Amino acid sequence: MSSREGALGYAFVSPTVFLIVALILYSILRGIQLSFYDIHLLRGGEDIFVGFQNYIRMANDPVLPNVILNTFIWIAFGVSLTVLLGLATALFLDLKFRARTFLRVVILIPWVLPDVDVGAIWKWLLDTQVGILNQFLITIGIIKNPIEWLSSPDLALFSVTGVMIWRLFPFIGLLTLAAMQTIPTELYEAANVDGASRYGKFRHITLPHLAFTLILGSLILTIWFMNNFAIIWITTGGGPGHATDTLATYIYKVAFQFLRMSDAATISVVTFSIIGIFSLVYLFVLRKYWAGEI
Amino acid sequence: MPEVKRVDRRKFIYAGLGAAIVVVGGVAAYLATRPPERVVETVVQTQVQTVRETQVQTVEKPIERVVTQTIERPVEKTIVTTVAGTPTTIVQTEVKRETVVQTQTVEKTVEVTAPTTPMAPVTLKLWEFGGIPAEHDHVRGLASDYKNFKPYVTVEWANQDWVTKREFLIAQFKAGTAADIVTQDTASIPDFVALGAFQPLEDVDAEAVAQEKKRYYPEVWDTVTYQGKSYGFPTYVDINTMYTWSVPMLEEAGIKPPFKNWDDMLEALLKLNKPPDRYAISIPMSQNTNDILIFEGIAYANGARWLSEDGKKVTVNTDAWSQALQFYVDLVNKYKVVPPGPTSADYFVSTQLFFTKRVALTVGMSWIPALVQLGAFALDWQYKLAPFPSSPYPPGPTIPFMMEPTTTFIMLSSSKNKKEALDFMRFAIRPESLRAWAGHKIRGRTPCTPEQWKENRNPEYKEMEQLAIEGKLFKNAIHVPSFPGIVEMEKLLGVAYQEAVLGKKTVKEALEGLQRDAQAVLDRIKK
Repeated sequence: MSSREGALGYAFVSPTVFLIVALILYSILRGIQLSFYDIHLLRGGEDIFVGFQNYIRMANDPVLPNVILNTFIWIAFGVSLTVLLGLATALFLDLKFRARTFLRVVILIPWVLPDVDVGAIWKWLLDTQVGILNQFLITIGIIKNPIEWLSSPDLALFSVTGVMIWRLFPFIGLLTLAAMQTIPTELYEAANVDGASRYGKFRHITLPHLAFTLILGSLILTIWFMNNFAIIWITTGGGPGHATDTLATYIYKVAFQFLRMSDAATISVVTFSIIGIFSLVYLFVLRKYWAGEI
Repeated sequence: MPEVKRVDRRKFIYAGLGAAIVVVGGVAAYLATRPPERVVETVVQTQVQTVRETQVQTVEKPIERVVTQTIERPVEKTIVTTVAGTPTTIVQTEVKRETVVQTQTVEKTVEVTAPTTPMAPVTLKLWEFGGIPAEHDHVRGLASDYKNFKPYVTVEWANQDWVTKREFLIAQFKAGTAADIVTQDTASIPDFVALGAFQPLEDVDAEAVAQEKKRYYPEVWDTVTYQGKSYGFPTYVDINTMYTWSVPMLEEAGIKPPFKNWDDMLEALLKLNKPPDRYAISIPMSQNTNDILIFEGIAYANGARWLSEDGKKVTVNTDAWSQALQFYVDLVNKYKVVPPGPTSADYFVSTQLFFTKRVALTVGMSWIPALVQLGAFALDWQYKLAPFPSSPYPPGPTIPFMMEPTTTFIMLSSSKNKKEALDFMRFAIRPESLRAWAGHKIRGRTPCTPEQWKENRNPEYKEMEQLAIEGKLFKNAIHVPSFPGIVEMEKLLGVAYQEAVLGKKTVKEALEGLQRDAQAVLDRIKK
């Protein structure tokens, strides 16, 4: 390719690149800028530069530690269980049986539903008094009194995490299933000849080949869990108390209900930094894959 | 290898031509046989009069209604033009319109706004937040009817989500894309005035506002008044807090409401409580705004207030608040008369428990019949409502109830056609329009003008009717708390009462935490 052709190529892609970079960079820089000002929409007046005061106030916010802890629990349980369930689903759907194709389609249903619908459906299913789940468990005699899935502060976070897992496990399942189709069958044939057990084949052939996919999936899930707002908002609204408030719901409340824009920007900058750290770790772990060395 | 079947080129062309003929023939047949005329009916009311002396006049006389039918019919028209000296014939199809005018006479009372000199077209945007379908139909109908009243004004109606109304309206206002008029609650007036979003109506036409004000109960008008200015025209009020009871269940237990005080009520609740099949009362305790207002209503009826008289100090660590929260906690944890899981039961779930006979009473507002009209519940039994009582010895000034007009026509300060917007708002609250909210079209809305009460068709409110007509119903009733920062404070209250009910904090701890956090909110806004 001549240098002229190269320049022409850059000229063609540059508007798109410029637009994307400008939009993303503007949002990030504007967010960081707001975090150094005192902006309360109810107070009006000029925006006042306050340096790190918002960060100091955020550090003293009695609710925020609980919100951050919730966010980590939500991500840790959510991502790990989604990956495990997705992997199990992929292994199951890789078996040869009659209804396999049908099940591969059915399994997609939670994934294709919008977040708002999923939240609304599960809010009703898990309702203490009128929810179907409690009615079902009582009818078959497993429980005597209804379980407070969404109203108990000790249980609510795990309940909404379960909803999110139900929503996302098909994605990991299909991603993993696709990766499994690329594993050469000769490896399993050789293992059979060597008398390897099922577990041995899974441990030494399947899992190593899926490692990249699972790490990639975990990172995507981490970001999705971190940013998910709709499911928690619809099912619990962050309650009871602050039991299910994560950074996403808390930022929304601070910004759009309390109208404290600079405080919301400050928490957003911290959230952005956490996601950035995750992304860097991910890039570091997968650097050899990206370089094509593996 | 399978043999490739060859297609004869001639047959292929014939088949293509055949298909084209069929399509052309089909189109021609459709054009030839389609309905010959499309009738567009436009109803033009001829009630617009020019009144020079006063701006508003009520006319009570038969009105002629002109029904104009515009008939559209395709006709062929031949045009001969000359192109470069050669005559070329172009056949065009035009739509010919024929107009048929009929005149009907109808009896109607209307208000007339004048003068109406020929004006440039005006478009007003009207956003209705929340409401039930009957309400949407009525307000949308007002928007379309207005075209008959002022032909040069188009009112574009849209329904917006109730739950996110606050953030939605702020975002739209900041972006300069907000509607001219919204139907909103009045509790948020101070917040939106602080934002500069709501328009004081007196600044548009003080005389017109003064005339409308006379039609309302003074206490109701106070709900739209902030810092001496009026910000909207109410259509009804929600009364807060009320309890609703199943007449057959309470009759069976020999209980006769209304209750004098909490002790009286508790005695009845213990009698009615038969868990797990039937609990005595459902109380919504989620963080939904309605649920928080319901608790606030109980506390206020017991003498609680958010702020000191000078408005500088938050006062939620008082006995009045403490008693109200303790009553909630006791009903749930000590007496166990509330079904499990009240903190996730919002007002709708709570009402659902009542209408499915899982509880004998429920706590809510005066909108309970609206949920029935919504079609959510089919009833073959009677229920009644009454304002929630206070403790036997309330530590503060009691009130009969709080109220809020949650569908108030409010003008945005960003409106480019303020005068026209005000005219439409007045059109929307004419007596024949407000009648709809008195049970004629829309149920479960407490009338807010004497005219509405005289025509009340809500059987659930019959017991309030006489008091209202005598002007006593709203005496000492107050507006729901309304000052800058209240929305954030109410959210904090929602967390506080949940923490107390769930046993995470004692009542004292919960209210002390609320006092500290709410004071911080107030101080920051006043800084």
